[in-house]
Amino acid sequence: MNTIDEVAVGAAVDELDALVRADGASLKLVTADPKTARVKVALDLSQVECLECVLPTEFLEQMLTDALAKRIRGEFELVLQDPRR
Amino acid sequence: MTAVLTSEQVEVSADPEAWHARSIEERWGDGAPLIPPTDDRVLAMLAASPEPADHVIGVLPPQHGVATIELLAINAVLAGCEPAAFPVVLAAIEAILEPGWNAFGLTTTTSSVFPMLIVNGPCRDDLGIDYRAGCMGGAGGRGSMTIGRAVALCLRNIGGQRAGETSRSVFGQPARFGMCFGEWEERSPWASLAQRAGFGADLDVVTVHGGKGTYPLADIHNDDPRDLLYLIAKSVAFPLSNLYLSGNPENGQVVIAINPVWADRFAVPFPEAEQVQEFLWEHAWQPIDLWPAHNQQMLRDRDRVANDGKVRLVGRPDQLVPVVCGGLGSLHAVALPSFGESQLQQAVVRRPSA
Amino acid sequence: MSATSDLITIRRPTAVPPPANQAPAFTLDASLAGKTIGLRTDMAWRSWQLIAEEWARFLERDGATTLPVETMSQVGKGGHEDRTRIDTWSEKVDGGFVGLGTCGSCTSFTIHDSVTLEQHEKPAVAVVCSEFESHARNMARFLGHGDLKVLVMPYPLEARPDDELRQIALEYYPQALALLGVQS
Repeated sequence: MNTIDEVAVGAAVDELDALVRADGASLKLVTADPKTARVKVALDLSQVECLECVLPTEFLEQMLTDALAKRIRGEFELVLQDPRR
Repeated sequence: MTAVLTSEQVEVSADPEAWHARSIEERWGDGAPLIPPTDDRVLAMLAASPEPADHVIGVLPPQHGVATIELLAINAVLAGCEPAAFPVVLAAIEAILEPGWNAFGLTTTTSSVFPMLIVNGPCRDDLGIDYRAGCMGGAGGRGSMTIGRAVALCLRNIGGQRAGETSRSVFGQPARFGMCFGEWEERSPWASLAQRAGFGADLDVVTVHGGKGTYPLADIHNDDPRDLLYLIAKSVAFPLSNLYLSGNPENGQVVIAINPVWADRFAVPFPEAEQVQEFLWEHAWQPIDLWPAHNQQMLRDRDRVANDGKVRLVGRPDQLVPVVCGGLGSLHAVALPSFGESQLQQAVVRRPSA
Repeated sequence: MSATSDLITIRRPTAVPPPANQAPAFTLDASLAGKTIGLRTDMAWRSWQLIAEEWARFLERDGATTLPVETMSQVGKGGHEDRTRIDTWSEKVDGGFVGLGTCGSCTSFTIHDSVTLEQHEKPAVAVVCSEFESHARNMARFLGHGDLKVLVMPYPLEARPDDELRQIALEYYPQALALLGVQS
């Protein structure tokens, strides 16, 4: 029941990565495990000068969820590792 | 070597609607369309069996019909099973025939109880056995929908179980069409149901539960794992449970399906499944004064009331059985209440040797 | 779309019905004097416990000794102990009444335990409520004892007042003795 295509998931993360890069942040896909339906994405803020300028966690999480939902058949769980939490 | 079939041959119409009408007239099915068990289909099923066609797996109550592998294969074809799933059907029937499952009582009772199959192991994905969102109905995996149905048809056609006749079930339940789901082992923080029973993680194992129905539980108000488990324990100890009818609280298990999100939450204070069971057991009781006077007397006569007035649902923690499955939407659990006079049985799925 | 009239050959999915050969049914063929008559009750059914108590009184009055046995479980340690007790009880009695069949599984086990008694070549009378008569007879046939004697009582018995149950006990006692094969 492999419902998670890692390449497609990577493309979704890249889309959002492009968005946060404007503010110096970056998003990376850590794992996309079809067995657990868990997608882990890490937000890197080490190069960011204006923390307030980066999309808020909840907003980013929602955008990522929407982007992933278009590419994953069935349910999945997004784990966003965001240093601001 | 190709098997030689010995079951009676019957000529039927090849027209799907005429065949459906005939199957209903002959009382071969459950009302839904069946796949005609032609020789080529039956032989394909038999090729997936570890035993030859004439091997007798047991005698199925209530009418004590002799269950040969051939007859079981015919019914698996009727149900729409793919041959690769046939060994799971055989394992489930083996488990049902264990005396502890009490097929003699369960196939004839007024209760709604029916075999509920829980599958562990790699075959879940290969066979389309649902264990994620909608796993107890609606997800539509071929294995889930046809393996349970094959078992139900075997009980009907070989065991002679017929509602209102040999089966005295007052209401029946949707699971009588067949119920089979898997455990989401990869999302379980605990050892799987099969592993806890001593089976290796690499094995395909079927657990058969004599379940009375699907009893839904929900909460949106409390994220505390202990509070939630406490409420689950109190809910499964409902006063009209079969487990309060018996004088023997040592028999029967309640399977408690826990969604992966709650399971993660529960695993923080209870990293082992046995700890969850212990906590559930500590709270799965009701005070004797919950019941009206007449029931109180019955419970006292059956020696079910402790000195402190607690009436425990079951005698031991291991009778409350958590299984992790379901979707990631959280908020819900499902209890599969016990008939009482039936013990969970497990069997390994065996395939033909190469 | 036109319906085809073609025929296909399939395999019949049903098991062959159980053979008609039946074990003999035993009868007491004696008076009650000096006989030990067993009364098997089920902890679940208070109505039958009361009727069995009444019958025990009548049986003792009529010269028999009675031996009660009560069951509670179908599986597990309790179930094993119950079936062992029924076996021992069957050895000790000259015949017996086994009840109560007033639910699906309890009727099945009423027949099961009656058959155990018959297998000891002792006459057994299975006591069931009318709603479960056909089920009792089916189960007896499925176990190869189609001629097992079945005493059919009104349904339901549960929830009737004690006085009414005592009246039923009195009313059905002669029929119970006749089925057991008691000679006057």
